[in-house]
Amino acid sequence: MNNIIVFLILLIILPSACTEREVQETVLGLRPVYGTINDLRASIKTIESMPMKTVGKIYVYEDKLLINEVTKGVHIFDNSNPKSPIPIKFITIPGNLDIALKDNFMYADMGIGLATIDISNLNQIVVTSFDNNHVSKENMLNPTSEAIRLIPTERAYFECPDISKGIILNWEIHQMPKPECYVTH
Amino acid sequence: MKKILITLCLLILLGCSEESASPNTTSEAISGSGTTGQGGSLARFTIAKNHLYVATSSELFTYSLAKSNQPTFLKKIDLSAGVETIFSLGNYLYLGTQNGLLIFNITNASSPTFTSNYWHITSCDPVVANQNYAFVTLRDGSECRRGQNRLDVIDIRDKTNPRQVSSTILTQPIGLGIYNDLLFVCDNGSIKCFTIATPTNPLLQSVTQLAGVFDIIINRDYLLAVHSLGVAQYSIARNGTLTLQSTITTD
Repeated sequence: MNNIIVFLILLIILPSACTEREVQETVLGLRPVYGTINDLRASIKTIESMPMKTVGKIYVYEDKLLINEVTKGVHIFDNSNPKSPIPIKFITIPGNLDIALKDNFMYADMGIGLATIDISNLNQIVVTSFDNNHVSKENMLNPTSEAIRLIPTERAYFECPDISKGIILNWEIHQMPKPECYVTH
Repeated sequence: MKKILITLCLLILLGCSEESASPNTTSEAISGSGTTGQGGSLARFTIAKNHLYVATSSELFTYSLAKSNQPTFLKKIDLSAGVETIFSLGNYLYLGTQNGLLIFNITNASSPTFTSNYWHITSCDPVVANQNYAFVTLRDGSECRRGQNRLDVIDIRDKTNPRQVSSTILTQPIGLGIYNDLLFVCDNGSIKCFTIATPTNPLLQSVTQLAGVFDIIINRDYLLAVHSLGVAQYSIARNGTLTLQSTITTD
């Protein structure tokens, strides 16, 4: 008789204990997507001009007007006649906010580094250098503010980055065991 | 700025690759002495004396452009946090920070050396300068809650001892640019033109309405104004009157 009672109690307790543990330890968090410098380089390219959405800083170079699309890249206009600027191309540069140009080379920040892009032929731009050795570790390892915004909770948990897996290209949102790393909104 | 840096950290979108097939519009290559462009007063990048200077919130990076295709990292200088803008003129760099103006000497371009600073109450502030005076706007805002809204003129004839010579109360000033004896300042949905012939007493000349304007570039006799919905270009008359030439707007 005692055995039956113990068995019944176990039947009730065990499943609820499991559920409780799951609720406690799983969170909606951010997971880094790792890649290589080559993946980053490949993300820099010219595409057809497109409408502006979020206007950033501007830059004038020779007869060109360059307008930053915040964190996306740069709109390029032929501005030889300021009465009618003509859109030429859009250069995708993920993370970009600032640029400077000299001798047809564009220097552009990508958040985790400095890209140098030969724009002498806009149909075939070439990334000639990428320097990600001089940006502080913190900037490289924390999720982007865009990514953090996807997390509704006050603490945005993220899988602690493992730099041996490569550089972080992006962050994805996943249900995951509660990681140690988090930032507070 | 931390926020901006984190923002910078991106959103790497791989993809979206419609390679273009339209006719080549390659511009004429300019060789030799080196052609550089011009950014606005909110820029964090500036090229001077064949070097690229990058201001992050708390650091100044120096790269040599001796090989234009491959900048060589030379130096990182740690600064107090809150650096927002960088401007170069002659042998000096001017950094606008949330606490004031920092001046660096780039006589030796590979190795900027701290020259002086001018501290003010915590505000957000870009800076532009001519040989003798620096013009700084201070504004309050989400990141500068204790800030003030004003235009300060700082005598920099002695670079080691910058001194404020005037302060003009404005509404919410931000980007600014110099055109001869005129200073254009973005202020709360308008571009204000001041005469600075007497820098100790900037006088308001004219006001051009442009909603959401936050920075300007003065390029030859044109003023390019960037605002939340696009870019407007004006011709500048000698007396500072702006005449709209064209607009580029968001979708």
